[in-house]
Amino acid sequence: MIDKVVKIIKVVLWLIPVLLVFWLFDKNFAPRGILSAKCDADKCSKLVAAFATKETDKIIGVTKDGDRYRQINHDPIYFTIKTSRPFAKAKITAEFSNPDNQPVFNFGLQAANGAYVFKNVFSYNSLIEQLEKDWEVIKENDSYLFTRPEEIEKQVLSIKNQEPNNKNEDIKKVDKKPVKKYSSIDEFANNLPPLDEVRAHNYDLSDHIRLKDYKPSDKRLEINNTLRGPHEIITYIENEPLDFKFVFQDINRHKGADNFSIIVSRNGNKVLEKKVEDDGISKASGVVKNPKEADIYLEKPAFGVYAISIQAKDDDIFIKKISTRQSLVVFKDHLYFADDNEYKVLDGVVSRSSDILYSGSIISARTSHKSALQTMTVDKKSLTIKEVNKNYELKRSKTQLGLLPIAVPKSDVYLSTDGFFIFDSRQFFNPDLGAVLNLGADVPENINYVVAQYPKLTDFGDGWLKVEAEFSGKELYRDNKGQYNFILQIPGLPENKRFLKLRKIEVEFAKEPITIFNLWTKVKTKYKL
Amino acid sequence: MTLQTFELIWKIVRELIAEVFKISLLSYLLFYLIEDFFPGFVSGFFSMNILLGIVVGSGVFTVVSQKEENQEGEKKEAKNKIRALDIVFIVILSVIAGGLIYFKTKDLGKLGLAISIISGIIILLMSILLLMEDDYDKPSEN
Repeated sequence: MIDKVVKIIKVVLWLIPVLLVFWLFDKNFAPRGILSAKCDADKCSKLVAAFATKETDKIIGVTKDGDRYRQINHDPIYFTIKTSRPFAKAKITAEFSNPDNQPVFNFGLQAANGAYVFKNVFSYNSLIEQLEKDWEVIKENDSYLFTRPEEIEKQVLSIKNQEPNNKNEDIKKVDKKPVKKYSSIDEFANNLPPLDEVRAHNYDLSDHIRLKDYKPSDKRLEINNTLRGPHEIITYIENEPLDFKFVFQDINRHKGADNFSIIVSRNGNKVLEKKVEDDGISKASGVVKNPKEADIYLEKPAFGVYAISIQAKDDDIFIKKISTRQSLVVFKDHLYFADDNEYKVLDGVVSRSSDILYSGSIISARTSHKSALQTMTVDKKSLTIKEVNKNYELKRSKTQLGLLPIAVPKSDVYLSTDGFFIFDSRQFFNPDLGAVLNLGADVPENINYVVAQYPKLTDFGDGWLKVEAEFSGKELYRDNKGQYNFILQIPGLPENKRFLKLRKIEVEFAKEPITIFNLWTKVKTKYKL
Repeated sequence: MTLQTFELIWKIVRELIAEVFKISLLSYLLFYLIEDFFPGFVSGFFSMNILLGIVVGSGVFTVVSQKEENQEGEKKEAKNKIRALDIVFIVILSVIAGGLIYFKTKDLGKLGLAISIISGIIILLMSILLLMEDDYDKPSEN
């Protein structure tokens, strides 16, 4: 009997290191996709290093309830976390007591360039706090939509009505439309009221601003002018596909392959990239092959302003034709006309004049060939190109308003402006669709809506508060030592002799879990099989 | 508690602590090896000093209690004859040891290879010598 018990104990003892090995595998490979590391008042996980190094003394306190905390007197709190593999997300949480009402907290993570990417997790704003009390509010997570209530509007009007000499103004005010109510922040963002009725606080509405009275066209727009080199086209899209067809031809006058990309972006974010291969001639031979077509198509793009950048490396690439379903098309910064006998080696290119409009305050022109020295007409004024490879400019006068026409007799000229070029005035629009102004020190009377991103401290109710932030994608940079470098910024803490009672800081990393279905894919990716 | 019961408990404790020594020593060496090849794999989550403390504590206890046992004349006759299996085991261990040494010295090129081969051979010969020495010493003990 005793022998059996001893044997069982021995088996249990042998199981301990086996389980320890499994535990270490779990911690290192995080097969469930989650890994957490934390620091409490007394100590940190082994993954955490250099925690709160600015604190010269480690002051530990205990509350009446027995909660242990570390006193923080200095700003910021740095710490690093070393992980055995990269993660896709990191959620950072701090629990603390704020006896001196520290008003601002920012979490940060060091990026590849050494600078910190900050996320404001709390920033006390007295106006927002007041609006929360006085205005109607829709709260969705950390986002708020404040709507001016009817009562306040009526009060303003009734005060005005009491003034006897102000009758006409009163009548105007009474006719004011009632403030539209929204049921959600999404509904508000997708159906914005006039922008002069809106203010924003830490909230970006630029993705939601539409072009007024826009309707898609059912006709294709065709630009048959030959253009040379890189160009950037700006267009507006709403309830229609993005549809561009280009015809390119390579003149092969410069050495090197002329493969290039067409990049479509919205608000600076790349939406689509189309690669166009070289025609196979990399020598500067001047030999020309057949034109190539390239299509850009997106079935249901989000509404907004799109930039289509033809990123040709040099002037070897000629755009022979542009055909599009978009009705609003402007060319940004420059236009290089190339309908000239100089390029007659290309199919169908012959000398001809060109007409264009521009919106900038200045127009500049140059040419590379003597045969294209000429006098252009810019809104009845002359602009003469007397020498090759030299820029000639003309500034817009105060009386010259709107789009100005340019007549180009010889189409071998590079035009540039600080605005846009348009082939037809009906194709013009201002890509700057306007912006919502930021909330100032008070809310003007005409403002009916305030939209805000205003994260608050989570109150546990027992004197302890919580802040959290999430980092993901490019924000989450792991250095070559396998470390993530975090920072909790508490501006003004030492200067105002404030202090914090820090109970816990925890970082929870997350990635895709390892399953039998993705294990082989992960191994192949890791070892490039 | 009778003397017999106490002796029985003492024997069990001694046996278990000797087992703890074996387990902890083996685990420590294994973790040390893993840590050497994959820095942070163990130490990032678990302090090996805990294991080292257990090794030292249980080791000291085992040595001291074994000594007492020897003094009491409870010697057990060891069976130290070299068997073919022992030789195979030693060869396998020597090859593994040589392989590990090569892994750590491969940056030296051919010199690394030479060092690992020589080290493997030395380990093999030393192991056989140790076993043979035990076997040889036995008649003089009797």
